Amino acid sequence: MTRIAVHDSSVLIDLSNGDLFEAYLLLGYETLTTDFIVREVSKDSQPIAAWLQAHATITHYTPSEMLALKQRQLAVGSSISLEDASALYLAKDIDALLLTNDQRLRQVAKKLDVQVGGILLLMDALHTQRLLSGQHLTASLDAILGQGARLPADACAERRRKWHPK
Amino acid sequence: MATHDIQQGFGLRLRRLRERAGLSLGDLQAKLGDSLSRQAIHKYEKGKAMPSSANLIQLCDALQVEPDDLLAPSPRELQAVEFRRQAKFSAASQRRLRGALEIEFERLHALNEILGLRPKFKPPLQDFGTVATPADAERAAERLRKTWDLGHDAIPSLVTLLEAHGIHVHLESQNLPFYGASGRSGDIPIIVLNTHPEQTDPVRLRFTAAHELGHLILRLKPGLPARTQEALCHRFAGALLMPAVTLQQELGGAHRTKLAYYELIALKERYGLSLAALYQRAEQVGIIDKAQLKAWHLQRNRAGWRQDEPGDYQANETPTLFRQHLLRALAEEAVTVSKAAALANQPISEIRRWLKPSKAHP
Repeated sequence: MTRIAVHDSSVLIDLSNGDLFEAYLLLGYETLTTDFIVREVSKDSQPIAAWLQAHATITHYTPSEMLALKQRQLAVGSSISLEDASALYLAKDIDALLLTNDQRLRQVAKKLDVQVGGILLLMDALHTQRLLSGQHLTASLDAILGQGARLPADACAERRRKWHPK
Repeated sequence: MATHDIQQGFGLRLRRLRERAGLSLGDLQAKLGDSLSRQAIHKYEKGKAMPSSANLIQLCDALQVEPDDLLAPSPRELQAVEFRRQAKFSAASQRRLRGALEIEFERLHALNEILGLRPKFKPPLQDFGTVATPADAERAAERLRKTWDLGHDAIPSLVTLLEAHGIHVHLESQNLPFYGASGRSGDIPIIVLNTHPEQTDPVRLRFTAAHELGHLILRLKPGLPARTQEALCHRFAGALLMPAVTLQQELGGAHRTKLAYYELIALKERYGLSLAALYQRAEQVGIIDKAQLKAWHLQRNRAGWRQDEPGDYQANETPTLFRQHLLRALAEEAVTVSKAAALANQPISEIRRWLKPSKAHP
């Protein structure tokens, strides 16, 4: 069965910074996101936006769906953006995996019983399925962290030990 | 919030942002590449329809705002913003700047609400009485230094000081024909400073900030002509940046028969006041007389120092408080990075750059 993953901007930016887009496709996820996320990442990187256009199913909202989305964003408080809310509720509505590294968004998602994962989950899968070498993954992780990704230090250290033991 | 309220709020904001941008319905429609009809935009503004996400994104791009800006609850207006302007500062340009400030304030209020911060500004001269004469303005500056515990030394960063006392400072980098402005949004006072090199320099920026502070906190006697009000705020600004007692100490106390500009360069570089303002202060506190001040003006004109006078002040006048609060919100996981990016009006990579360990951002 194809797994469905809904991306927020953080994981997309990390996939790009770690040069992992090509390998990610080999994991076989059906990739979904929203037009708000496409706009958000396009401010950082047109290539990521182009990759989404080529490889992802992009959700758009009708006027009544927009109203519902805004109501749902307000229901979880003012800590998340409309972009976050769009990815969060898309994942909830279709019972998909929400891919985000944002701790705050993960907390909100868990409260709503949305399954969450992040870039480390994808990199673990690339390692387990032997799609990339441990050395490659470690270099990617360095590149991702070097660009300011907020990943838990202990989890990163554990991955380094596992992927590329010295 | 009911869907009707969301739709109404969106309509109000859309209309206000369009008008602030100086756009007619037709202009906005043209900016959108005619993908929306004027009637459709009109219906949005009346709160009778909601856009699809595709149309909302187009509107955001055309008006250079974020979806959260257009869909935020209850719009707030800036109150009593007065520009110290030049004659050519058109009403349309002022309206556009007000629009940008309103968005900035909406974001500031939103962040304060997220962090549970209350406005901390307390009028520091509430019991001082009205200011009607230069001597009053001088005393008001002395009182403020005492109330804010500033002593008599140089103020290293006036902007930081203003922020610490709950005044929001906006630096405007567009080449618009005004020096500064002051006003408020709700309980938060605001000072706007034009930083464009054609409009200011580091010492002038500080003087303008102090002058605008005067407009915010002095209770000027009602009915004074505008010119007198400006002169009193000027006197207040000079006295705040360079207290009489300090200048007298620096220049030897008594009346001086001669005062050379090169003596004042070190003071300019330490206190962040122009040579012209220092000469003015020297006359105001009785160190030189009016004839000596006039002689300085002649020397300044002859040497071409009106535009570029000697001495170099290294200013440190950058607002940091909003960003500091945003970093706190991120550290406490009170906002997502995406929300922080929307509030800061920056791409996500810029927020990540702030969070990256480095010497600049520990």
